[in-house]
Amino acid sequence: MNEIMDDQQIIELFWKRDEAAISGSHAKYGIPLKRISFRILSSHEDSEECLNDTYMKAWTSIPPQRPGCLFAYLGRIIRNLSLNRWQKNRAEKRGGPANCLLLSELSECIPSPRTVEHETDETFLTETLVSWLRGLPAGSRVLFLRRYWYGDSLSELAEACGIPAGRLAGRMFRLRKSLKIFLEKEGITL
Amino acid sequence: MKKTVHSDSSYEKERRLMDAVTNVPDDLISEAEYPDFGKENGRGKNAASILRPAGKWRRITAAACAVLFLGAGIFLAVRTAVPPLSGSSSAAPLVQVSMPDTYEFSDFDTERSIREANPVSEDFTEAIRNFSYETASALLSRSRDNLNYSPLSLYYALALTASGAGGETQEELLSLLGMDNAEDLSLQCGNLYRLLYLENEIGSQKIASSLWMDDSIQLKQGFLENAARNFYAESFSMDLQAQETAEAMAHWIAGQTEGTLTPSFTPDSQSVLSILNTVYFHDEWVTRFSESRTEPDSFYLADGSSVSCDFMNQTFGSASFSVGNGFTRASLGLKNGGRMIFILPDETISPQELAATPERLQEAFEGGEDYSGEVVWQIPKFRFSSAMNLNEMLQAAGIDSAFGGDADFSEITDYDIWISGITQETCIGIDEKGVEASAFTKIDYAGAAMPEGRAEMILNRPFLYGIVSSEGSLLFAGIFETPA
Repeated sequence: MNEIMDDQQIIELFWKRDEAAISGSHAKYGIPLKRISFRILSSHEDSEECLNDTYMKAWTSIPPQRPGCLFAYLGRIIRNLSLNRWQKNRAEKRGGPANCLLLSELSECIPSPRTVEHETDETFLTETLVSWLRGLPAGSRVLFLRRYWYGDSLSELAEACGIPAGRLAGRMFRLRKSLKIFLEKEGITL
Repeated sequence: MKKTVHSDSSYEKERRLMDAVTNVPDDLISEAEYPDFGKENGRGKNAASILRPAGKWRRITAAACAVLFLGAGIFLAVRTAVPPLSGSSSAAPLVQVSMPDTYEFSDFDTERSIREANPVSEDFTEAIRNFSYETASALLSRSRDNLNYSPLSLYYALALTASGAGGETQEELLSLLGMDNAEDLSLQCGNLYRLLYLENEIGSQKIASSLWMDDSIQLKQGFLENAARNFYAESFSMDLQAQETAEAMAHWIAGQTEGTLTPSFTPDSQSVLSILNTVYFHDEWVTRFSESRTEPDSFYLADGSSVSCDFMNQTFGSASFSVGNGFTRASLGLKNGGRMIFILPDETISPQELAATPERLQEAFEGGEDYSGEVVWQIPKFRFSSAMNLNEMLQAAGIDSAFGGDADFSEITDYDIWISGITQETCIGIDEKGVEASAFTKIDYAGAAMPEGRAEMILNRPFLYGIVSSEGSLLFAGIFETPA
């Protein structure tokens, strides 16, 4: 069955325990989900496995969950699974890239340590990030999320923006610095 | 010296940040979605149209426009008299500008009180630093010839422009300048201006701005007053189509740069406002180069050929230097507290590669491992001028609306104006001049550190350089490709 269902139909199938929910999800979101995973793992085999695990996780969590946006829901799962897999591969030295470019870039956003050391809790960190994102012009916000949520490459983003890749790097650099300054102002410690 | 080092167990902090990105709300993820899937979730604009709005380059050729011209001059150790220029005596500023206090070379009390009265925030310093590396990287990485660029001059010109902008035009400018609001930006620029302003018996470090508006339009008083108060900008109301106005502008620049820049302007019938900014810097080496040791030698160009030029020679028995990925860096102290940094790329690497990204350039200027030891200097004597159009670089850096018919400069005037061009002209020259270090100079190589190594700063192939003020601002960044 290749017909693209809308999100509500797919979620209903999950709730009815109908396995067509998996094929429906795959037909609609399989390619962009695998792409997110591949950008973290740089391995087709590993990202294929993460994609299958994502559908399994969705199967076991819906119900009771009822996602408002199915793609965002599945996207969060595959990001988590892929990052876990990348860290595991790295720890076990199972090959694959030693560096995750996205993580390396984000290291520039880490606020400088403060005198009183205590880690900010995850919810506050996310809220702070969201408040920074909402304060950005739409173009910058989309650029940041395309890079660090969707994992788009710099050359893809440069093409989308209509500017050369080298110069896009400058915009990304500025965004990362701006995030770092914002996190520091909000007293975030990682 | 700031560096990011990843040990085997690291990435934990990055992962926490990545998890926070993962958990942003659905509406933000949907906003960034491309429209090839999931269209039914009630999105407004799709990500592709947000990233590249349609039709933003229209209406460039309408009747009114603003011209922003930047000039910057650095001239180390040699001065040239201002040449006489004619037809310039009629320019009288609308708003009188009193220049800040300056102080004698040895007047540390005044220096301290100026410093205390003009606090500059860390955010602002960081914003200028980011701007400097981002814009310098874009320009230097593409240059195939000598290029001298003043990030600080451009920053001031854009900050002055931002103070008169509104809406998206201002947002874009503030975003590039790294500041949240134009008022703070103006105040901080004012404070830094007063800190940097220097003219004594040893050297000069002066930023100057002026506004030239056509007498057919009226500029808002608030903008002019802020320009005078925080940017020390004089304002002139003149007929911008008249030849004598063009000469007056050229004369103003020559006067501000001690005659090192003598641009020629031709009247532009479409221009209603020109903003001129200059940076003039003149200082002396803490330790002069001996003229008797200057001798010709070969400079090897990027294409493998060589040319002969005069090299200054000097050796410091115990000085600091840094070695990083692909470069060796050392600096020469200047008497008023600044320094000139030289970055010699490894033989297999070009200066353009070191400037390829803002991060790489920052690493070249600030990173690497520090050593102390003998530093052997061989530096070509040089003097050259650069002229560059910065429109393309600024547009690529996100300044879109200021250049088009959608520009909002409603705080400058009620007329519809926009920027038609931003150019920067600079001049740099270095030679042996200077006097021996005096008791007032701070000089690292006399310290107690034991020599750990030896660096040969034999600058006989293309290299990068920069001039940093005593405050740490990157006044100039450049690439030296050829003595010819």
